[in-house]
Amino acid sequence: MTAPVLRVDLSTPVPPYEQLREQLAGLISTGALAGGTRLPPVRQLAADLGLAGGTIARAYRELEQAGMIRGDGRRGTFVCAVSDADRDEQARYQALSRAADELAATARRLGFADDAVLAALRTALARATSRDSASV
Amino acid sequence: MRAALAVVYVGVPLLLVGASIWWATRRGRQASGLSSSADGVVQRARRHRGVGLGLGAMAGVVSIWFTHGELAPALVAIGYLFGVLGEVLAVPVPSGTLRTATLETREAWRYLPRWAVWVAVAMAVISLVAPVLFAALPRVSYGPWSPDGVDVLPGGTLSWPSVGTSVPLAAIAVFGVVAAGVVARRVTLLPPVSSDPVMDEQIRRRIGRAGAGAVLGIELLAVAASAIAASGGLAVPQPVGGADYLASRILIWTGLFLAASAVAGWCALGSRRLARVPTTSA
Repeated sequence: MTAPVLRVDLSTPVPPYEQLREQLAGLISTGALAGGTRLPPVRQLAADLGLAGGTIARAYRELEQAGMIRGDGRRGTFVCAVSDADRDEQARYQALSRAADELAATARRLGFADDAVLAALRTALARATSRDSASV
Repeated sequence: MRAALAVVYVGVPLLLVGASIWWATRRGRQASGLSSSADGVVQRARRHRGVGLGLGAMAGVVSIWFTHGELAPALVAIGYLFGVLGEVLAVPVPSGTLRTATLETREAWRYLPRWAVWVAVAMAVISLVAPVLFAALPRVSYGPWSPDGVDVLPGGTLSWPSVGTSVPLAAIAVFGVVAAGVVARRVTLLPPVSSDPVMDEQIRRRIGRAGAGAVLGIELLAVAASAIAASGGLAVPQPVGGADYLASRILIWTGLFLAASAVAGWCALGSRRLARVPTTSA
C-alpha cells in the first residue's frame, strides 16, 4: 500500500500549517491513516516540504489538542484510534465540507462576491429551517 | 620509504575508491531517462565524494610525513565520509509553490546494510579496548639467542604500541561511529531527491551504503593498524620461536587481511550506480 501524500500550496492564502492540519485530519477521519500509525518526525516533514519545523509542529500540536494524534516522546507521533461515533461525526463533517467547497467553486465560477454567497447560503438555510418546521 | 608508504597506504585506496566513485556516477545509456534532480544527485556525488577522497588522501600523505603513517588509510576514508556528508548536505531544499511529502517515516536502518553497521561497531569496540590492553598487558621478553648457531645476540624486551599510536586509532574509530550516525540521520532527513518515490528511496539507499562503506573502511583500517602495530609487541626473533612469534605473524596477516577487506568493502558499498533508472511497472 502506498503511503498518503501531503500537498502544500504556498500560493493560496490558507497558511501551510492549516493546510497540513486539514489534510491530516481528513486522512485520520476517513481511516486512510489508521490508529497507531506513526507520523513522520517534524524535521523529516519540514525537510520534505521545505517548510520551517515550527509550521509542522503547529499542525501536529493542533491535531494533538483535537485528540487526533498523540506524541510519545522520542518514539514519535502516532495517530489515535478513532471511535465509530467520532468517525461518523467526522464523515458527516467531511461531507458538509465537500458541499461547501462545491458551493465556493460554483460561486467563484459565476463571479459572485463573498457577501452574495453568504447571503444566498443564509437564505437557503432559512428556507430549509422553515421546510423542516412545516413538515413537523 | 615514505613515498612507498604513501603509495601503499594512500595511493591504493585512492585508486580503488576513485574507480568506485567513477563507476557509481558514470553516465550510461540510461542517463537520458534521468530527471534533472536525479542528474543533480549524480553530479553532487561525483563532486563531493571526489573532493572528499582527494582531501583525505592529502591528509593521509601529510600524516605519513609527520607520523608513522598508521592513520593514513583511515584518514583517506574519513575524507571520503566527509564527501558523502557534503553530498547529502548539498541537496537543495524544495522550492516552488506546490510542495509534496509522503506520510512515511524513514528509518535510518532502511538505508544502511545492517551487517556493515554491526561489523563497524564491533571493530570500533576493539579499537577502543586496544589502548587499554596495550597498557595492561605485560611486556614480552626473550633471552640471548643465536641466529646461526655461532654468534649470540643479547635478549631484549618488546613493547606494545605506545599511547601515541593506539589512542589516535581509537579516536578515529569513535569518530567513524559518530560520523556514521550523522550521515544516517541526514539521509533520512534528505529532501526528496527525485519525484519518483521508487528512485528517491533507491538513491537514499545508495548514499547510505556509500557512507556505511566509508565507516566500515575507517573501522576496519583502524583495527588493521592496531593489529599490525601490536605484532611488534610479540615479534620475538624467529629462532626463539614459540607462541609469541606465531601470534606476531598471525597479527600481521590479520591486519593485512583486515586492511584489504576494508578497502574492498568500502569500494563495493560505494560502487552501486546512482544513475540507474529503476524498472517500475507502468
